[in-house]
Amino acid sequence: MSAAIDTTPVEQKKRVYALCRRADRLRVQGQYGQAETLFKKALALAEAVFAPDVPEDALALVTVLNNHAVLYKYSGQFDAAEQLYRRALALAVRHLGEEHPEIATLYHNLGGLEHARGRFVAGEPFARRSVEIRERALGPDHPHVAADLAALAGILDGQEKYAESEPIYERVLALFEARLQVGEQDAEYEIAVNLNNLAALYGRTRRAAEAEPLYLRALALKEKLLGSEHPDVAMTLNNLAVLYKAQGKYAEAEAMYDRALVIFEQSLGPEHPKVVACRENYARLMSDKLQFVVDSTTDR
Amino acid sequence: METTTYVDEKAVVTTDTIELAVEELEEVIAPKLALNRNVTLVSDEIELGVEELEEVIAPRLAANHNETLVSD
Repeated sequence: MSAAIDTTPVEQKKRVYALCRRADRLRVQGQYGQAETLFKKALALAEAVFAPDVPEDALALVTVLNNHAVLYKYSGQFDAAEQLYRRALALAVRHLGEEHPEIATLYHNLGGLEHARGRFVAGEPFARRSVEIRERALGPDHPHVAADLAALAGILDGQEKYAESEPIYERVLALFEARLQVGEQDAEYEIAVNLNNLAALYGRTRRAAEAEPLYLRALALKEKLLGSEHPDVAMTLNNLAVLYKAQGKYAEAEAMYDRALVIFEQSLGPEHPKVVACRENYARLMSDKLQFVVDSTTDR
Repeated sequence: METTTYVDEKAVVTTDTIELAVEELEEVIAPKLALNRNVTLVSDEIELGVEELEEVIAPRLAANHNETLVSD
């Protein structure tokens, strides 16, 4: 790589850090294509300059591998993500042992990957392991433990274990609301994600009236934090559309799907699993709406 | 980003054992003043700000979120 020419190893390491931090920011902004380009460069350079046998270097390499994998998860490249996570985990365990909080993050993310793949049963042991390690290291009320618990709740939802996931969301939301009260701004994003998930749980358990205000707050928070064109915004728009359709509010549902699909297709491309799911939801709405019109005409 | 490389065409002779052809030796035309050329080398470098490069804070290990996308 040309970046390695004429620079000292220290400068090259700084460059890896800078590339990785920039790529992380782009990923958070939903700019997945640009983030991928930077992560590839960061990883190629990191592999050239960091020595896997030197603990400090190895952990820097673990960070690049992990953060690149997180991007791959969000962009729907699940097999590529798994390869990087596995490499990161092997390297991290070699230098840190099995009980370090950083190891918990890798298990958290491996669980998240299975969640994204819809393989919830496979993801549950990873998620439980992350909670176990982190709780032992940081205590039960640490925000990182709450984030691990929230991730576990998402995996339990996928298995319809709502009786277990609902109190977890409530506990996690209470904790992040308290953090926000004391000025921790990062808590806002956590609140938005968990409001969305709790609302989805309410929707699935026929509590539509309770779900709507939670979705609306999640949407407002996401738009404030991420802008109105972010794929995370489209997630909540899709979910609101499902809720509105269940309430027979077809016009509202259609407006939500319209907006969600435009954002999804622009940010993730047409083949991403989230885009496919949203398009199929939308098609079902249009089909049901047509059937509704036919039925109404026939009844006259 | 584009970087510029200056190519100097002056030949550096480090030995006097170079064989020169008869025609070369017989020419009386003085050599021309050589010009260098500014060749543009296109690089795929990402432009990073000075502040970005000077920060020595390692990036944090990122954690993903398991957000629910509801299917109808």
